[in-house]
Amino acid sequence: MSSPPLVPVLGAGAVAPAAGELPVHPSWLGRPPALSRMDRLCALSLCAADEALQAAGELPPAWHEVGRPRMGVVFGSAYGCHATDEAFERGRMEEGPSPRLFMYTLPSSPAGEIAIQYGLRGPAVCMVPGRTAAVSALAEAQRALLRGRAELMLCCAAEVGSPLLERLEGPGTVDGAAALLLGMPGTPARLGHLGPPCSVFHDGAPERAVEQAARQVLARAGQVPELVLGEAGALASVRGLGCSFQELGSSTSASVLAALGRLALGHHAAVLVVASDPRGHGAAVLWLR
Amino acid sequence: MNQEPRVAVTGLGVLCAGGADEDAFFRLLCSGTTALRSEPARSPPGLGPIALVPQGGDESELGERASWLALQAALQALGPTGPPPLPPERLGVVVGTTSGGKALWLEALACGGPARGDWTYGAPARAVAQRVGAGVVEVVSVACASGNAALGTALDLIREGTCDAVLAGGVDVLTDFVLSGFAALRAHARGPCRPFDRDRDGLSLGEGAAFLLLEAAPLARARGRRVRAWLDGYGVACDATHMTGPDREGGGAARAMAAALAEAGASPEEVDFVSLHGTGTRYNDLMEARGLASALGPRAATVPVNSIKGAIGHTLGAAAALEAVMAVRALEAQLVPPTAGLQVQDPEIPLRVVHEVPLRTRLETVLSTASGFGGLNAAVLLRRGDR
Repeated sequence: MSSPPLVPVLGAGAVAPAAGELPVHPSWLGRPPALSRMDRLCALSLCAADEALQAAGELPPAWHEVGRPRMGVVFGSAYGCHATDEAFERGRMEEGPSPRLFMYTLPSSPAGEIAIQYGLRGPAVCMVPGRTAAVSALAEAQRALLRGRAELMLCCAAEVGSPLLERLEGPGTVDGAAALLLGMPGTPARLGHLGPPCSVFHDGAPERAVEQAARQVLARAGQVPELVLGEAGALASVRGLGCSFQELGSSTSASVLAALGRLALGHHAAVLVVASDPRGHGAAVLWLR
Repeated sequence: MNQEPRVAVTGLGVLCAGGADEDAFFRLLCSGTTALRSEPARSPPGLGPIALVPQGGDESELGERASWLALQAALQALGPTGPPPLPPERLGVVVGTTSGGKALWLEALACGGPARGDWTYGAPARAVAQRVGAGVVEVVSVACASGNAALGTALDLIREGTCDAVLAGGVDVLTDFVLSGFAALRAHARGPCRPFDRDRDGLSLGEGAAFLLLEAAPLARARGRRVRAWLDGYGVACDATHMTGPDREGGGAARAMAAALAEAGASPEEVDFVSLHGTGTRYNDLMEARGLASALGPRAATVPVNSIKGAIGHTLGAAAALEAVMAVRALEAQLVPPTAGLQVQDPEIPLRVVHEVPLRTRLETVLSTASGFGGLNAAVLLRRGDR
């Protein structure tokens, strides 16, 4: 199998407000009600997407086309709209179901809201396999570009923590969202390039899944990374790669995309980012300057 | 892209209120009758008919209903020979769902304790992958178009060379959470839903799972599998207009259908039958008529179309997967099932809606489209397989 072309990263954005705090209001909106009518997952996602678009500077022609039919969005999340689900369900039991909340009880809502806010009429998809969702979303966005379904893709990931989530899954999920703007191969990259991501499922053995995903990504690219980034559990699986390692402070889908968006600011030329889910998923993606 | 394999459908599996296997399912659809029933015990009070799958004897073994439904349908799709003899990294599972294992999450929320098992969106996909030994697992959630989006991702995984075979499908179960949410939106029909009818008044919900076994053509041929259909095209597009209401002109649906046609290299004239989303809500059905006219041009007025939601309800994340199974069976039988519930066609919907009895006709190419909240749309194009 020949390796697909590298996909350029044109812009990046990330928001991580403290629990309960509203995200930074995107300057372009100028309409506070637009954010306040959304649930927190959508509002965070929209702010990150806005930052990525603004960071990209001059945007490719697909942005300027009427109706933006060649621009799309992929959203990824481990836990999606569970916090909104909880608010809806508690409200349903106490005073009856809220139609406003119900429309945000789908994990794909951020993809819809981002598409509406920017008039994106190309592909809109949501990937929710688990804590490797950001890598799955990147893969889906890259497919949309490489298969000619779009010329410009926003890839966004977000999580919203809650006491219930902490009870069910343990601590570590902090509120945050991040987004990357990806272009067609050949478009000048402002923030480096991404190789084809890889996700692997290994029942009961996420460490083996991460190792396998990392090896596949590196074999396809024919590269040895200078640095591997990931949360502690995922990093433990790839210690044998013979390069330096750096732990991500948080293991959420948003932190994976946020890390990818910051790599151009550093000095490395090739960085492998890995993610894992204790239910058996491992994923990896290679960033190249 | 020339070396990409064509993708064959070699197995089907279904579990819904309309039947516990593909034969029973297609028989019910062709009968023109409905599996929708009143369920007075379900909340909220005054709910219209819904389509529930009876509890299975072995359901409690898995502990999570959506996973159980998905597993039954997936194993059917594999057939008695089981999964293709592939290493795990060449075998995929892609599941479309809006809720996944949410029923367990609701239980944990209500009781205040830990969840009894995997409550996340990926629970059904992992249950299937664990059983069949798949090493590539993706979970796609594109509202009520999730089933088609799962087929699209699976198609890509095979074409790009990541997998040789993928079990792809959709699943969702009906919880009081979902039923009361649609009630809050006043979306439920009073009686069984009536897609494309002049007097349609909303949707009827259902639950179920459907899976298709997709194989790269060389693998299917080497295994001596009959190609039941070819999955040749996929399109996905967003309305970008409203979170719960569709683009009144069906723009997103039209773009998804046009993209599926283009990817398959098919012209509108080649399309012999269109499986529409057909929820029975006023705006969805009107939007689809306009979207189809935009995608197919003059062919839209003459091509046979149907909706199966009057027979089995709107099964949300499973809906498009069930419709894909119906489309494959229609191609094999050269028979379009009628639209249950349709009595007097809406004059504002100038389509050739098959109703009352099945339509026997020549079928080589079928287009299937689905749409959902957020203005998300996805379509697939299937062609007739071996005869």
